[in-house]
Amino acid sequence: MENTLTLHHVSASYDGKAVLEDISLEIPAHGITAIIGPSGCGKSTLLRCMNGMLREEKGTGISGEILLGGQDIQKMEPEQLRRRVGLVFQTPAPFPFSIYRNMTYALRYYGVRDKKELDRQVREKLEMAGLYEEVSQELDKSAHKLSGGQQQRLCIARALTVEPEVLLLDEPCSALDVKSSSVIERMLVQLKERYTIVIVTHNIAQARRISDHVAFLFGGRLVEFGTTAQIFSEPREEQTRDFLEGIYG
Amino acid sequence: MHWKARLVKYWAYLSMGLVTAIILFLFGYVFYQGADTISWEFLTQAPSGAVLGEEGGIWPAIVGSLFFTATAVVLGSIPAVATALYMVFYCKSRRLELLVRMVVQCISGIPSIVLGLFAYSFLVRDLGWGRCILSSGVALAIMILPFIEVRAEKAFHELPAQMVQSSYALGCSRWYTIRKIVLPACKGELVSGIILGGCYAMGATAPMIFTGAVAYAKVPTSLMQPAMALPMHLYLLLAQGVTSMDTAYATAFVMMGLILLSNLLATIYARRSQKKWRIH
Ligand SMILES: Nc1ncnc2c1ncn2[C@@H]1O[C@H](COP(=O)(O)OP(=O)(O)OP(=O)(O)O)[C@@H](O)[C@H]1O
Ligand SMILES: [Mg+2]
Repeated sequence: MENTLTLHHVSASYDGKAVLEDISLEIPAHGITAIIGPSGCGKSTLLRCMNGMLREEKGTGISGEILLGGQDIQKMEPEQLRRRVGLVFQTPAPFPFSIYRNMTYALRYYGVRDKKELDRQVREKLEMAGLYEEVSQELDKSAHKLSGGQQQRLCIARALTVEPEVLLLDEPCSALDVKSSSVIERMLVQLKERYTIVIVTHNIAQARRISDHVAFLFGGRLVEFGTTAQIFSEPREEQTRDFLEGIYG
Repeated sequence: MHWKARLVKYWAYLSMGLVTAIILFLFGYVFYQGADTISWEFLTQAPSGAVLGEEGGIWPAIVGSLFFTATAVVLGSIPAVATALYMVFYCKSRRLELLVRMVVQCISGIPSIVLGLFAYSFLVRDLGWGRCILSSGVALAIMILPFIEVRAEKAFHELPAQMVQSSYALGCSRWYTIRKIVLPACKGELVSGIILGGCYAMGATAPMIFTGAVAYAKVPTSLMQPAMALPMHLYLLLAQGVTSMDTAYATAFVMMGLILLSNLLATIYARRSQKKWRIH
């Protein structure tokens, strides 16, 4: 159980206002876990707990315990933790550099200087994100000139450059068309061999297509967690059933 | 359009026109009055005459002002930018943030003559630095610190938060993020804020009257000497009365020209670096 994430009674608040309450969850390794729930229920906040980002923000409070491969993340260096747990944000935020420099930004930070090695990494990770063919001729182009879907895939590829064990994705397809979404979905299914993936999504059908486990969050509480098959065929909780039937939208 | 909305629109146009007219008139007037006296000699010679400044030029004052300004900019902008970085990227406590903000606001509320008094009694007298550019520079630096800090903080806040957080999310340290993303992205605004702060320092008289600016001195060669300064010189010329009115206007002309030029450069620089950053 090398790179599982385990949450024990995790609660979080912004300026004293509780946003997550008593969440206990075990995210299995080498699979895709989807987090679903209505807008504002705390999905993004939960992701930011998992990579220690929330702790660093002003006015936030966190309690409970989060273990990465059995190790308490509170006791890890924040940089070390984030190298192991990558996060891709809801809206793509490429750095205002060229595609190539976006990809080498973190590698340089970790001391990779060799041009050949950098080239190899850039190519490998762009290929994994299904972007290489589209941009291989223009790696020097500004990342801001890519389309929204390309930017999102670039951000995923960029997150992969540091070789994380866990990859957290916050609604990576929310701004994309069907085709770009399905490219990303296919990519994620391939990536789960190597990484543990947690994806927040508003798209129930997408969760059903790609995930192995589903966590349903409602009002800051974890209502139900189970395998995708179980959640979709026989949800135990009434709230889950209502949500899946589209009552909360 | 609704008549109220129309009224507000006309009012806005009118005030804009009025303000522009006043500013143009002010500059035009000073430039017109001073233009006759301006000459190559005026710019490059030391003042002379029975009453100082009635004849000769203002070269030592120009150089002196640049010295005062440069000292103030160096001493003021470093802590100002550092404070802004701390406030935006390091400080995790709301209370501490509030406290620092209050302190900065208090500093900006100190009358500049009080800064002069402080620099005089503490630096010139107690520490024995004597009247010199450095003593004035410290007073001026304190004066422009909040000015620069506020602008720097605003620039940092306006960066897209997710861009900065993306860097953290890759496990990169704050310092690396600041060096590689934040500072390059804000360079234009930082430099222009610092130049504007320098203009502010260049025009101030009160902090240097007792601490380093003197009626007459040679072109300075070190920071431990007193020096002439344009606003101080202007003040003295005015105080002397009618006979030195022409040189007073010419001095004002040079001062405003310098400040206008710096402002222009600051704006152009900010524009250009912003554009460059966006496209690349
Ligand atoms: N920086 C913040 N400061 C204060 N409150 C916040 C902050 N970020 C989020 N919140 C609050 O926390 C709650 C959960 O927010 P969160 O972003 O985690 O929701 P979400 O499930 O990701 O929603 P969405 O599906 O719309 O992205 C919301 O009620 C929101 O108002
Ligand atoms: Mg969200």
